[in-house]
Parts: sequence; C-alpha cells; structure tokens
Amino acid sequence: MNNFLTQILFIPIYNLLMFFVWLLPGNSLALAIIAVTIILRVALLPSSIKASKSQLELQKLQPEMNEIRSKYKGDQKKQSEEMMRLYKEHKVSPFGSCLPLIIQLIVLVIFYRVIMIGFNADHFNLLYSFMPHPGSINLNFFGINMAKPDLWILPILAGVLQFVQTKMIPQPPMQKKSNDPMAMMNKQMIYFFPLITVFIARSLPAGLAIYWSITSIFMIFQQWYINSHFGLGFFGRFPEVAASRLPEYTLESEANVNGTEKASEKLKAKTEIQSEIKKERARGVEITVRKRK
Amino acid sequence: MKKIMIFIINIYQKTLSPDHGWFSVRYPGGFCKYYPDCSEYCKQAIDKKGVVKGVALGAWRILRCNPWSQGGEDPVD
Repeated sequence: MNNFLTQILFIPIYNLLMFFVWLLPGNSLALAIIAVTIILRVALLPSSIKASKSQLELQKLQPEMNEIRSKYKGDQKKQSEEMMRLYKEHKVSPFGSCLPLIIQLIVLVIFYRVIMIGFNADHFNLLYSFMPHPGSINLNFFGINMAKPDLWILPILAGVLQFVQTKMIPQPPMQKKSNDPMAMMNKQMIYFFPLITVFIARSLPAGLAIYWSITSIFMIFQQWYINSHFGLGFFGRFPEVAASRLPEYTLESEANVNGTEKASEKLKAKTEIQSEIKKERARGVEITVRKRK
Repeated sequence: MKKIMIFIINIYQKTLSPDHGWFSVRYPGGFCKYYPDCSEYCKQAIDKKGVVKGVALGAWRILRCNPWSQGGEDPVD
C-alpha cells in the first residue's frame, strides 16, 4: 500500500518539483515550490470559483432553508428532499468537493517528505528517465534555508496571510441574538487558526511555510475576484438584511416567559426539543434547530 | 477498530469539517455536494459494512466528490 502510494503520488510530484528546479534560474527549490503551488491552485481554480459562487447563492436562500429545517425537524429524509427541491427551484446547489481539500493536504505531506529525504544526489534515481537532471539544488531563498525551520519571517507571514484570507470569506447574515454556539466558535476560529498556523509552520521546514503562504496569497486574489463579482467589497461584507429576514436561534433565548399558558407550552416544547437533540447526539446525528418568528 | 475509526471521524466532524464543524456557519446549505456528505457517508459505511469495505467505500466516495461530478443524493445502502 505504502509502495503503491509512493509510486502514484510521491514520485510524480517529486519529478515535477525537480523539473522546476532544473527549469527555473539558480536551481532554487523555493521557486520550484512556488511554481508547483501555483500550478496546483490554477488547476483547482475553475472548480473552487464555482463552489464559492454557489455558496454565496446558497447564503441568500438561508431564510428558506431555516424554514424547511424547522418545518421538518427530526425528519432528515424529508428535510433533504425539500432542500433538493429548493435548490432545483433556484437552480443552485452546494458545489463544494471534498477531493480538492484532501489533495491540498496530500501535496503538503509530499512536499514535507521531499524536503525530508534531502536533496543529495542519491535520490536522483527517483527521477524518470526522460527528466532533465537538475544537477544541484539551491536551498537558499533570501537567506532562509528551505530545509530547516524558519522561526520568524515565513511562519508569521503565513499566519497573517491566512488571517486576511479567512477574514475575506463573506459571513452569512448572523442571527439576531448571536448566541448560536457554532457561530461564536466560527468567530473565534478566525483568530485562532492563523495562530496555530504560525506555530506549526515554525516547527516545519521553511519550504512548507512558503507553500502555505503562496496558497493563501492565491486564495486572497481568488476571494477578491469573487467578492467584487458579487459587489461585496474587499472584506466580503454582506449588505444589511432586514431583521425579519434574519434566522433566529431560539433554543437559548428566554424570550417573554411569563407563566401564561402559552409560555408553559413553549417551555414544554423547548425541553422536548432539547431532549430530542440529546437523543440524536447520543445516536451520533447532529441537528440544528432554528425557528422563525 | 470500528469504534476507533468512527471516533476519529466524529472528532473531524466536530472540528475541521466544513459541513459539521466550526466552519459550518459559513456554509448554510452544506459544503459537500453529496447528501449525506462525505464524512457522514464514511461513518455510515464503516458502521454498516465493516472497516475494510467501509473505508474502501468512503475512499471511493471522496474520489467521486470531485469538481467534475454532479453530486446529489447518495446514501449507503
């Protein structure tokens, strides 16, 4: 299995990298990594632009979706049927694909391995016979050794670029009362994730930080294009939405519970929903209950 | 083994998954083009068909979940 993966993934990417080491001036590994990264992003460009566009179209449909979710809550099958109908009606559908996400990760791992096995001549036997021989490999890039971890410049650059990139992804209109734990978590992650990136990048060879930074730069330009296409501005702000159209998250809100008959009914329904959720969680199924006024 | 695999998928779903995790707020209609989404499909496949067949089915699903496929409903049966 390991050998198989080496043959179909590792060796082709190693060859591609070495081809660019040969092609680009100065036998620079950093430039080769940048070239391969850009090629990968360009190859994924059409699909990721299409996915981002369909995602934005879907965010416009959020009120309708919440209605369906609360109408058929607990009935996953009916829910998904209704969703499909809604998508068809508006001619949109989620277009995210999981494979590109995994490909990015695989490329990262392969770059890591390529850098780790080192660049001495005894690995040139992995090159295909028709590949030109790069001769020597220059690991130096503006005074930073690609094979050793760089502690400051590149990791921080990677973190900052990633922060800008996540910040640019448009946020769907939030709930009126913003106590949806998922939304809160998402907000914190915008700050938390780039920090993690900095610390991981500090412990990995600098070449990987370059890969990370170039990917982020590419995504920034891509997101910029999409945001301006939808007229959302650089940082992807949604136009204000009328409060009545905003989804509401009622599980936590203690709205006008007065002890009237209606209120106790409400409370009963609430506890029912909560116990239902607990049961679902125990079964390993996640549901989100939203309710519209 | 089965439990370990499902546990790992659960962790993924609670954290990094764009369909269930921290970033799910950004994707109100779901991220994955399939229903059930890839991680859920893997989980169900491993649960119903056992580890070996389940992982194979899951891997095949992820390969199908590429920019050139149509998506749609695709339950484990």
